[in-house]
Amino acid sequence: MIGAPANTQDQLSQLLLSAAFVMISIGLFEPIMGWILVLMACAVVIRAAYALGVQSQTVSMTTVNLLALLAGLVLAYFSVQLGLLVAMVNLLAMACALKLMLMRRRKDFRQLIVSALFLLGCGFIFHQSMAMSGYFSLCLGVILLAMMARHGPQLTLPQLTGGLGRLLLQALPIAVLAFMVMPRLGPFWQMPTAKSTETGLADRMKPGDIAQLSQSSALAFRASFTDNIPPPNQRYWRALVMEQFDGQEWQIAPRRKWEEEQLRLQNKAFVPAPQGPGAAYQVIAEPSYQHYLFSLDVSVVSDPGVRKRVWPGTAYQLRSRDPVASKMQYDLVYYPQTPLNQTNYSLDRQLNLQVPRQGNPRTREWVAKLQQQSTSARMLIDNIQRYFQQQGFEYTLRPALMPNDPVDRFLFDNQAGFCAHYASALAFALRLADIPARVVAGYQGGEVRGDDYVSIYQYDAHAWVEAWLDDQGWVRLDPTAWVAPSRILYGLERAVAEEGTFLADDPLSLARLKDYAWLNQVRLLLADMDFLWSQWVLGFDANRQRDLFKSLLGKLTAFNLSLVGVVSVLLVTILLAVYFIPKRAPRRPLWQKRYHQALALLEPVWPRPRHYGPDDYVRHVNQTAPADIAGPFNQLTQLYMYLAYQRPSAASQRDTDTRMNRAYLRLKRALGQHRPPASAR
Amino acid sequence: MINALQQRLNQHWQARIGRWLDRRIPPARSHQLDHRNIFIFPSRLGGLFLLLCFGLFLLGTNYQNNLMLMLCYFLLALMLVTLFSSYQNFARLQVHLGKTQDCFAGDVAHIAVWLNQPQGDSLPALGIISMRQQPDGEECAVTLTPSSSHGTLSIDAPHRGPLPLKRVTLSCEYPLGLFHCWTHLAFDHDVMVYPRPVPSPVTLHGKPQEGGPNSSTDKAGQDEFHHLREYQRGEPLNHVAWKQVAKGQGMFSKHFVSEQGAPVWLNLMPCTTEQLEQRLGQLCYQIRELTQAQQSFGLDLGKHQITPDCGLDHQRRCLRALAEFQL
Repeated sequence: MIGAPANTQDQLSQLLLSAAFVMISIGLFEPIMGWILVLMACAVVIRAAYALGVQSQTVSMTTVNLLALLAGLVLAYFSVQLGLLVAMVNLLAMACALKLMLMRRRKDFRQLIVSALFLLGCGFIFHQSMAMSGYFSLCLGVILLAMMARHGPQLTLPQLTGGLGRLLLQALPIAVLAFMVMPRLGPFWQMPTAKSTETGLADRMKPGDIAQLSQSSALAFRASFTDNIPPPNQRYWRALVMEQFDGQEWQIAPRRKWEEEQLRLQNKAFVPAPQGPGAAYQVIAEPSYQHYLFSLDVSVVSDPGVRKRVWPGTAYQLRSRDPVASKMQYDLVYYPQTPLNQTNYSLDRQLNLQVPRQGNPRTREWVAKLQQQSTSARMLIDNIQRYFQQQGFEYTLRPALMPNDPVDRFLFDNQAGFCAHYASALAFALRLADIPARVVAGYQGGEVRGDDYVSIYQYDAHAWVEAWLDDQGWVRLDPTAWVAPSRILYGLERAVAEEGTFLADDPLSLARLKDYAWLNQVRLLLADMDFLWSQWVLGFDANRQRDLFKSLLGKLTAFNLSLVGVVSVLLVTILLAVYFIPKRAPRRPLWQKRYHQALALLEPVWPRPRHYGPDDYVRHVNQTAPADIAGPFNQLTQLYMYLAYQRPSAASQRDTDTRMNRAYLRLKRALGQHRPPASAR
Repeated sequence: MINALQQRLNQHWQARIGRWLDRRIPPARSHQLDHRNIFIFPSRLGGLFLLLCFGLFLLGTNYQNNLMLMLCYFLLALMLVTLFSSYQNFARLQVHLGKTQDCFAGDVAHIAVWLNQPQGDSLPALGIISMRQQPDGEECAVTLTPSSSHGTLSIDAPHRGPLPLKRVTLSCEYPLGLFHCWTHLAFDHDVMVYPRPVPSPVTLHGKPQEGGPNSSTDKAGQDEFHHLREYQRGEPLNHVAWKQVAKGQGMFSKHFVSEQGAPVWLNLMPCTTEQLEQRLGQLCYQIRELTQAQQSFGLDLGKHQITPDCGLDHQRRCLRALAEFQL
């Protein structure tokens, strides 16, 4: 049907389908390769020109086949570097573009529709924000509109939209019900994930890295607490523990990685024994395409089911089994009073006393001097703190570059740096003084919204130090707080307010425009919506489903669960009945009813040709029927015509109703008396 | 061998379905589409759509991606809603057989099928109805309009006799093409296929052949005025009694009688079985010629005789008799 002459029906449907492909391509701008986007653009232009009648010939089969061959080769060449998932998405997009050029038969249209819908579904692998979901819903609407335009050619675009809108509104409650009730299954098999640029903290840390991260106002994760949110100076979100130092940068110790791999293979999770009261909280991590997760010290993964995804490490940090490619939600319990002294001390000590053989000579000298002045580890730390505070160290987002002996340059020449500089210098100094110390990278603080949740942005990235003190275990030391206490209490924005470097590279960020009250309101409202979206839509997993059922039904017995199934099916049935059982036709007024009853009585005896109106028929009856039948029927007809064509007042209508009733009864009686002769006719 | 068996089985099956359909949807001149005669099943697109939903479910579960699952459930819910809405749309239609006309063997009969929209304030049916005569007739697509619309079936009529109108399949995929709604309707009709006219000289005979019942002595003819009768279609206008028309008494035509023995009869006999069709064709031609010339004639088919008369109704009667002769 799509053949040679583009008729108006297919014109609209083809244009809509093309528009849908343009929209999907824009939505999948990132994973789809540039040249495939160009191919798609060409296909859309060709299809649109053809549909609008600008061009009367489509591309020939041979051309498209040749193009397909070439494009396939190019894609195969790139596929290794793209990874399986993205390569597949690209392949599908490419096939759609070629098919769009060639669309001739009904089969082509069917395949295009289904492929477009599948591409749309794949879009959700890459984007899950509320805005993008809205955009993809719009794409879905356009695809469905193209389907409807094809089957309802007599409708204009607004009519189509109205009709489709009704269908969609009818389907929505059923879909939501299914979404809530359908059992959530675990993954059946491992799927390829998208290779994407990692965001957030990196595995290794050079002083200066975190300063760069601080220019981003992107969300890192959110945490919601069932009880009170801990104060800012306790909100140290641990992500990575770096125990290897080479004089320049810190990284995760290979030995530690190996150790954890072994434990994991033996399925022995390190669960610290909690002390003191615990507080339950939930983290929703944004996709970072990395393994680390966020937790407060000390957090325990309470649900063994969650431990399949969230593995607790021996440095009290959490790791995800797979790279976090979409929003990830996990529940933890936070025990602030638990000491960090439950790990294997000999390994910790061995790893955390390591220093490079050479480099930073001035620091080595300085620490040796300090060691002589101090009698205990505590005193040494106090001395270093005093040094930082008395020397007028500065906290800056724009530290100078320190390529050689960075600790020396920082401690004695520049004396200005970001948290990573301080952490790196302190940990190195402590290790030189024979105190095991390591750098912890993570986030600190976060923006509190009501009593519900904390949003932690990339600019909240932070690094601090942990030192092993014999009587307490690992103790958190934050040299940044010694120098810039406002960083810890009020966040980065306050701390660098004078410098004016907060999000300097991101001038359009809403977070930077906090001074405008209404803009800030909008930003916070969007954040709230996004939080609810993450929690209730993206994070609606088996646990949440169970909680929902529990809150509805109390206990989860087999009977109750089957009740849920039955009730949902019933609900769907009721919905369908409401939509589709036809409304009862308005009742006929009495005078119409009586007249038609009279007709039904007379017609078997005095047949009425189709073209006879009431006037014709009553004349016919008058001529052929006996007077006692014709009389009442005559009266009925007169009243019927009076009521039908003259629109009498309500009072006179009541009067005529009674007269009609009487006439009808007389007619019936008369017919009863004539029955034998009537049936003889 | 296997082919033959397969064919037999197929035929048997077709016959069974035919019998079942005859019970379920008996022939009628007009059909209101409803649950008794509508069939509905996912179309090819619907099948692909279900496959897509399954794919989305697998992908969504494997990636633990709620939005993909939501999309999957939404598409399924949409399909469920479409099931009802496509049935409801199709069930609004009322299908009538239009006015039919007889035709000649070898012609193509055109039969109009009217698709009437519901009366009153209920919504009209929408979409495209494709109409096809079973099993391999030509397809005709009708785009429904707010008032009634019609499609024309073209049916080959190779042989004389009643037109073999098989079941007509109507189908519709509105609104989204996910479901195929269809019905197989059988229509009561009285389309007759006349023998193919074979040009031949008109030969009239004086009287019907022996053995036939002898009719009255008065034969309609051209010569002498006999009586007035209500005007019938096709009668020559110069026979109309214009005086009566002018007086407002209605339209009458004058009837004349010809003298007994004037040749007014078309005879079939004598003819052999082999010649029968040829002869019927010749008679068919002659009947049309005579009617066109507005001449009276009678038809003698041996056992069956039609008394002499003229006009279109008479022609129709005669041609029908020819069409049904010895069938």
